[in-house]
Formats: sequence, structure tokens, C-alpha cells
Amino acid sequence: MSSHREAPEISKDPVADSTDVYAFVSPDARDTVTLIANYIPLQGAAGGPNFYEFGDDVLYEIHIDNDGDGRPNVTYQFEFTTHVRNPNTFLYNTGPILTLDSPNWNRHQTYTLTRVESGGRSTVLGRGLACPPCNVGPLSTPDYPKLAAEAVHGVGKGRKVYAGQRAEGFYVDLGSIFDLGTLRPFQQLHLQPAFTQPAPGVNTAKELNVHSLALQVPITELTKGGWSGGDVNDPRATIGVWTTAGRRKARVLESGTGKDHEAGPFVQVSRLGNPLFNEVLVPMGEKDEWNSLPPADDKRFARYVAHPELAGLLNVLYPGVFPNLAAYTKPRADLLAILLTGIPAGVIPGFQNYTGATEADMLRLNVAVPPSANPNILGLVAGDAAGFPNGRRVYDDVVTVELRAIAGLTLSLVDKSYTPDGAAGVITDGLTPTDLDNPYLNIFPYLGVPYDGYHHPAS
Amino acid sequence: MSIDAAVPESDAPSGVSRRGLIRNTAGVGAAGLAAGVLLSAGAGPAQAAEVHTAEPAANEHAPAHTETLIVHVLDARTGELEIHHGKAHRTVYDRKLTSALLHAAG
Repeated sequence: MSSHREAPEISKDPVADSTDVYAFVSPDARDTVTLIANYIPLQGAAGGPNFYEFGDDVLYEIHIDNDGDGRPNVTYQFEFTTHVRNPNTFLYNTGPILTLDSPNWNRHQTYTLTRVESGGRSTVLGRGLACPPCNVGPLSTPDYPKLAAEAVHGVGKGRKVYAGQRAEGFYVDLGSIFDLGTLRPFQQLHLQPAFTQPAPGVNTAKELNVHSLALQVPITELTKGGWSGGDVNDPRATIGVWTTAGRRKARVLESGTGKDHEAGPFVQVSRLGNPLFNEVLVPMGEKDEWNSLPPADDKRFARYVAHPELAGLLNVLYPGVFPNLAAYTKPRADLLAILLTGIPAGVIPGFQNYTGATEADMLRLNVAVPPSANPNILGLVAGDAAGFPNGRRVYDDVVTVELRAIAGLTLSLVDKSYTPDGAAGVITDGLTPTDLDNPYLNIFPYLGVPYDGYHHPAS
Repeated sequence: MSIDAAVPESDAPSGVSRRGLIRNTAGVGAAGLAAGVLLSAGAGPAQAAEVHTAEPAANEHAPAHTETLIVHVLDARTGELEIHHGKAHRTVYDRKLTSALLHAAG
């Protein structure tokens, strides 16, 4: 997945497991940026009686770097509190939940949102902010969009926030990809002669939900010196975005009570910037370490970007399909730019999202690029500069973009002597947003209404 | 987690309130024994302050606290302790305290 269960340790701790990060200039509020960090992967909609919720013992953060050093200049922190109205029932709800203060909703969450600046200034933007319930089903949550709308809170100065369940918007064919790198649309070309015909992709995330931390804030709140403007080449136009989750450093479990006690500062256990970075590029033995580090320390992982294991596997698994890629031995300057430094000016006419020489995995967004009137899910490689890897919109096909980039499609941008293989321009896992049942929204928080547990999985 | 409708203390599992349980844990502490493990000096933003403790006077009362306190013995030979208290932690070098904890641990 993008970052679902991407490392050994965090795969055992789903409440703190970041799955996707999105950052884009809001199409319906162009003086703002929308930041979304998703957690708790692969939620079956019928996950009762203990439906999914954020961790009271987890510090969730969305970070912004606006000076290119791979360290946060602005951080938004989410801290949750779970409330139980009646501990003497096993039920999540005892009747329909029609409002967020419904007495029928037995187990609910609120949160505190805090903005922290790198100098240490900390501002609480909201306390006691209500989360929506999970989408239980038509009897329990008969009007989910109304509940979700109630859970969009204004938190001053043009900000909005939402924290709660949404439909999984990421689409990927994991079942084929992790079966020895099979891509169904090209499976007849695979080294293993098991398939004779191509097949359409199968969305592994179909009808699943996630928990989203969604925030819409003015551009001037994120950029260096509060900059805003239309000059794409201004170095202040690009911000780096990533999310982290932390747990307290020490924990003691009480025997015989079901209680525990925690102490010490929060220690980072999960991190996510660019999709698939830790999942596909970082080797197994270093994934947990990567999750514990800031982007500023990513130089040590740059060799895995410069010589990605997956590029070598493509040559092995699809014999003769990528001859030019197979013959290329130099470091992958295109991937280093896309993922670790941003794309310098002059590589793509009229575009840059370069943040400097510091190699740091961050989702880089040039906020001077306006939202596209005709978005292309392949983003920048398809000429749509408002899409990934210039930030990431909820519908961007990041799997196909990164597959094609690793296969060499973007290499000719920085090495004019290289000719991409024909397959690099068509390789895909065969999925698009049409494979989602619940569509994206055109308003905040943009991810679709979560799938309800009565109808999903569909019979 | 909070219970919106408070449960009477007498209904709690052992008749002891959560606050009481935390105080109890804080008073006793918890010692993890990991002799030989060294704390990285460059541990990032949560980097510990390192202090050498002074002996308290015999009649000095322990400071009041209500938050969980957990002590981790990092190196018994040097007396290196990591003390987690609330959301803070610091590294302390105190051979007497380390020795006392190890004796208490059996």
C-alpha cells in the first residue's frame, strides 16, 4: 500500500500507522492548502462492536518544512480523548446517532488541535472538538453526511478541521504486486509463465475505510514569512509536508486490571511523506529505523533511491521489456529529485518544487501552482502541475506514477542521453478512481463518505 | 479514556480509584534492568538532560507529584537511570539509588 503496514513494527500497531498523506491547494478555497494524514489502515466497515477510533495514547502530527532543512517549521498536533457514556453495555450505540451529541452514541471521541512553531510557540486552535462516529449502518447512522458535516469545525482564521472515518481513497492492486511483482495488465509478460492473457487490476482497498486527520489552513500560515503569490519560481513557494505518530517512551501494564500507565516524552513510531517511500524503497532491515527519524536524516537512505531495488526487479521479472533500464547503471538523479530534494527549475518548463540540497523525504507542494481545471490523475508526468509529485491530491494515481518513474519514464528529464523504454510509459497496476464505490467529494474533507458496515462488504 | 457518567469508586474493579492506582504506581516506580545499554547523546528533540543527583537530607520530604513515574536502570555500574515522569524524562547518574532499586528488585 502507500504506507499501510509498511514496516515490521508499525504493522503491529495500526492505531499509530500512517497510511497516506495528501497536500494540495484547495480547489474551492484557493488561498488555502488542504493537508490530510490518514491512519488505521484496512478498516473493514463492519468492525463492531469496538469500531475503529484514534488512539488516546498517540500523538498525531502533520509537519510543514518551509526552509528546506527537513525539519518542521510548523506542526499541527492532534490529541484525542475517548468518552464512554455507559460502561455497563457492550454496545457502541444504543439507538440511531442523529447528532454528534446523541445520547445513543455510547463511545465517542473529542480532540485538541494545537499549532506549534519551530521556535516553540504553541497555540491551541481548538479543544473538545468532536469526531464523527464510524459509519455503522443505516439504522445506527442513517445520515452520515450530516454527522460528518457537523464534525467539520472552524478553528479560526480561515481554518477547518475534521478528524474521523472516511472512505479509503487510495487504490492499489496489492494482491498482484506482492505476488512476485505481477501487474495484471502485463502479467502475460511475467517471468513466471502462469498467465497467458492480461487482466484488469483488482483494488485491494475496495470498500475499506481509514481514519483521516484533515486540515485546511491559509497558505500564509504555512509558507516562510507568510508568503503567498503567483511566482512558481519563488523559493518560498514550496513547502514540505509529512506526518508522524508518536507513543510515550515508557509503558507499564498492570496485571489484573486491564489498565496501563505511560510516562516520558512522545517517541516517533511512524512517518510518511511521499507515498511508497518506506514501503518500496527502504529495505526491510531499516524500515523501523526510518519510521523513527526526521526527514532531515534521510541522506542515509538516499542510496536506495539512487539505485532502487524495484528497478532491478522489473528487469528480472519482465525479461526483455525494459532493456534501456537494465543497461542504466548511474544513480537515478530523477528519483533523487522527485523524492528527496524536489525538482529544480529548468527540468520541467514553468515548474519547480526544489527545496534545496538537503535530502529529505517530504511531499513537496509548490503553492503558487493553482488547482487544475482539468486534473489528470497522473499529475505532473501527464502535464498537470497541480498533481503528484507536486503535493498529492486525493485522486492522484501515485502507484502508476511511481511505477513509471522507477521504470525510467522520468529519467530522460535529467539525463538527455537516456531513452525510456516503451513499457515505462504504459506500466500500471490497472486501477483508476472509477474502481472506488464511494466517490471523492468536491468539498472538504474531499475523501468519500465511509463505507457502512451493513452494506459492506457487499454481498 | 474518560467515563462521561462517572463510575463510583466502589464500582471500580478493586475498589481503588484510577488516581489512586496511578499514585501507587508512581510511588513504587518500575525498574527495567538493562545494564550495559547506553543512551544515545544525539537522541533528537527528546534528548535527555543528564544530571548527577545530590543526596536528599534525611528529613527532606519527597516532592509531591500525581503523574506516572517510571524508572529505567540503564547501567548499574555507572548508576545511569532514565526517569520518565509525566511527559518529561531525564537521565540521572546515582549509584546509590541504582543499587537500592536493584536490591528492591531482588
